[in-house]
Amino acid sequence: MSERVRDTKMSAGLLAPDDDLPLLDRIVAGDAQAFEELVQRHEERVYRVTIAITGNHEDAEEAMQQTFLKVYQHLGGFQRASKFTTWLTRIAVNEALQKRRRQRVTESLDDPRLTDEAVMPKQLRDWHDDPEKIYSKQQMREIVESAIQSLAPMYREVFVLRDVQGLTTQEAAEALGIAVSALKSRLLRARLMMREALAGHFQRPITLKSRIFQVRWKIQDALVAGFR
Amino acid sequence: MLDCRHVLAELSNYLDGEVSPKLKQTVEEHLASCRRCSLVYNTTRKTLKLVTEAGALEIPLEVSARLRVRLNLGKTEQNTSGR
Repeated sequence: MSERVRDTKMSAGLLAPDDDLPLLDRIVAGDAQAFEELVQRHEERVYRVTIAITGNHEDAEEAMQQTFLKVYQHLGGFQRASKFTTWLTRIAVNEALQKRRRQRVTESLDDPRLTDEAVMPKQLRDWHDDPEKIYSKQQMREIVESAIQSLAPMYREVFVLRDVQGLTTQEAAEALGIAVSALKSRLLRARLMMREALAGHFQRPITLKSRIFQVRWKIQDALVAGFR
Repeated sequence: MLDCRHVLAELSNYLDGEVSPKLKQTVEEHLASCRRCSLVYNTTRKTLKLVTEAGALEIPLEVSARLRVRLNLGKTEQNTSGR
């Protein structure tokens, strides 16, 4: 994208101005303090990406280091056609994926070939209105992080980029180098799996009414399956 | 009228507001009449809210500190080896 097109899109409100550009200019001019500020500003973003993809702290930390070194070394070549954070996230994804490829794991890292049946909601009781009042902030964080870590990598990375880091669907797909349709498909499954994982902590106790509904739904499912 | 499986398939897009106005209305009609899908929708929405509020995957202080040490070493190596 040319500067003129970018400026036109910005003035039309189609692109937000990139808040990082003044900082990048200072780094390119040799301001060492500016690089530290950049690290401070974006270390959490990079950490989330690398821990989501590698699944372990050692590899995540090495990938973080490599990410910031590459940013420092290649900043002069950054075209500024996209937002800095898009470029940064893409580098972090690549560094983390390289680490993951080197991991010696026996489990499948990619598509566990989940059937539609496997992601059908099974936890079907209402949740407490305010789960936040049952658990402390620290406990809530541990429960959520444990649920995220329980996801297979291909779902975990999509969920973290989209729902923890807050990237748009398009940005997350671009960062991971996959089609938007593939991202959406994985995101749906990831969200349903997260719901299942959290349900055990937040569901209301079983009541006669909830039991009756569950039996009724099982009968409905059996009837639907019988018609296929 | 959509059945439950179709609504489930569109759940994520519906949560993100990425469905057409017509599909949105159809999903909402189904949710209003189907207790199970309504429960799944509400608890999935709650899941995303809790994840956001939990501040999950914040960088631990010790990781942040180690990163600074590592980067200082990296810059020193780069400066001495690259010139």
